[in-house]
Amino acid sequence: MESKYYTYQESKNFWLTLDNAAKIYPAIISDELTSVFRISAVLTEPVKIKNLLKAVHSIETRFPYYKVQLKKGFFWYYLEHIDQPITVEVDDKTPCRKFPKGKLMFRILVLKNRISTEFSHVLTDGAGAFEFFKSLLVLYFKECGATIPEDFNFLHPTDIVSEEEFEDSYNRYFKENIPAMVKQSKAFHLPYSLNPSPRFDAINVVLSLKEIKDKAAEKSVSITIYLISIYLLILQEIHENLNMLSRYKKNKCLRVEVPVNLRNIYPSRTMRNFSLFVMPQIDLRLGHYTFEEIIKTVHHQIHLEADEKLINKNIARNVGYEKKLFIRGIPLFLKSLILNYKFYSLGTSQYSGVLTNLGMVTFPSEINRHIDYFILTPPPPNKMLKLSCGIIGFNDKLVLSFGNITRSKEFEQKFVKFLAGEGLKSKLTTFTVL
Amino acid sequence: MAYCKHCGVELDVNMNYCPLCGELVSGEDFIQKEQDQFLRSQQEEKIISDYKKLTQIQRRKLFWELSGIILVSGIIVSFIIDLVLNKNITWSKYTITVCVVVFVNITFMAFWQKKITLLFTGSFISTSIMLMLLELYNQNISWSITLGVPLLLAAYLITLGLISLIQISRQRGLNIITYSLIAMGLLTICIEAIISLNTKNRVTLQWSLIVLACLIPVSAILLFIHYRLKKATDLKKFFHI
Repeated sequence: MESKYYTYQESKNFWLTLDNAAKIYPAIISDELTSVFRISAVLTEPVKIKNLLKAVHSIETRFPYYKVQLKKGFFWYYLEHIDQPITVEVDDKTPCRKFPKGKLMFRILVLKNRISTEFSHVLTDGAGAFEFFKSLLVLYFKECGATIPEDFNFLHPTDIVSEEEFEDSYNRYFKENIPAMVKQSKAFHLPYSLNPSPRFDAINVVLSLKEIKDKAAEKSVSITIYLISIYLLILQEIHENLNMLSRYKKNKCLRVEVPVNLRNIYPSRTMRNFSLFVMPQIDLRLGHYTFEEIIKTVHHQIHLEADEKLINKNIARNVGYEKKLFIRGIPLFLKSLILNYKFYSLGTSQYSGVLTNLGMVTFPSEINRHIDYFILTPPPPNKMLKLSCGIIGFNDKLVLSFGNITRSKEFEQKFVKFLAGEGLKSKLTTFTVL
Repeated sequence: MAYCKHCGVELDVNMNYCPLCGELVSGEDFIQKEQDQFLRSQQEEKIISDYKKLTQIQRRKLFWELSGIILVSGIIVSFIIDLVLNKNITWSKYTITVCVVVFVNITFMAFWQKKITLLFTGSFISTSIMLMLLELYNQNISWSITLGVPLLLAAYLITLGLISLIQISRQRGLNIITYSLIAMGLLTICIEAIISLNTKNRVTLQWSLIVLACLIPVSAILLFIHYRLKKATDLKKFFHI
């Protein structure tokens, strides 16, 4: 694709259609189901607020595609440029709150030695948001006196914005005439009762990256596969502990949705959503699985499903719907109702949990020593899903963040207990106490 | 180094309060800085004139008081002169009536600036009464009821409509001129209709239609220029499929 470059002035007054993944979110967003995720950096010392404000000011014009508000069209929602400054707020409220109408759909939050950014999934996915956050942190530490190596790759404020950063990459890689995915059976869902409003809460589990890496290596799998396997194992344990009637009533298929960053498969510089998911599963109708059996099946399923051809099939299904004229021609209010229904029937009903891994993030050594760890908090799960998990690794620490809307912490307790049983020490934190 | 008690972030030495939450920095340094700032602001305040310090409401009240003094003086002076020269109230009743109505209108404008409908209603009633009084002084009442008040009513209604339209316009530019031209056209129609009703006992429209016909193409061109670029993209994004 030929790149066109924008100056900030040129990139003003534009409007964008929502990317393929973002199309579902406006239809389902509510005060509880906000579709807002968070990336936090916990520093080794309190945030120097003046330097942070300078860093924020310097990136004000670098990410024009995030300086937008969500507007209703007749057939679809769209994003329209809005000339509002990026705000920095005190991080003393519930994480991942909904963005008000007519405002920017991302925010920067600060408390003590923690800087966080929250993004609506309408704008981008974890990888896109992290690129933004990386630029912010690098510039913040530069203001604090750190030297940034020339070869360190980040989006610099003086860069001219490329048209590729605006693009909906799903459309670029959409291939026609590919058979669509087969609908999966319904999956098991956690049985817990919900919290009163505001429901969402997150518990962060800090682990030693080396310890967990060694443990995964012992099983000859990646950290992601190791953690998915634990996730499924805990789900199995909860399922097996149900009373007879509930066990009979509940679906016996345990499936975890694992988002895949498509930028790693297809060349793309998009800063908007560009991820899909794979759904490893175990079927309890076939009997009880040992941990080793789960690891083995997850390993093979992940490698099979993350194949480019199967991913194409998934893109074909998602983008294909959007390209059908009779779907495009449905007025927005009706389309929103249908999308809302489909979100539960085709989406959430098919998986029992979400485990999203942003992977290892790296910074220049001079910055590394000022950051303790990162936290990736997934968007508040819906009433069916109830719980989801975000993972991010930095330096020698891996952090799991469990977003939960229920009264029960049984899942997290079992998870941490299992890790302890494996000899992995963990430290728990929340967003209210640092 | 100072830290915000609420957010726990590190503040720069010259920061008196946290830019995030507004929490004031405690300690002697802060008190000293606050005192310095207070003294500075005191000096600055002396430089600013008294008038500039007034709020909008205070300024309007001041204007109302000054107008009141001038108009009441005018009333008293004209009354005394008339009384001294003619030993009776003759011509001064006209100036007194006009001055009183002007003052009433200034009062409405000073205190009902935000209540536009109330302001227009009050102004219309007072001005209508003025027209009728002026005619009544000649021991006769005819044109004020049949011509004056209806013309005044048409002018007030059209102006009120125009102001309301301007207020709800999101994007103001050439469209405001267009609205004004159309309002003028409508006013000419009303004027001719009311006059013809009085003179010929029926509504006949001639010159006012020509005025309106001339104004419509001009307005259309202005509206087209105003909305052409903006609306073209607006429609595209609103109806994108």
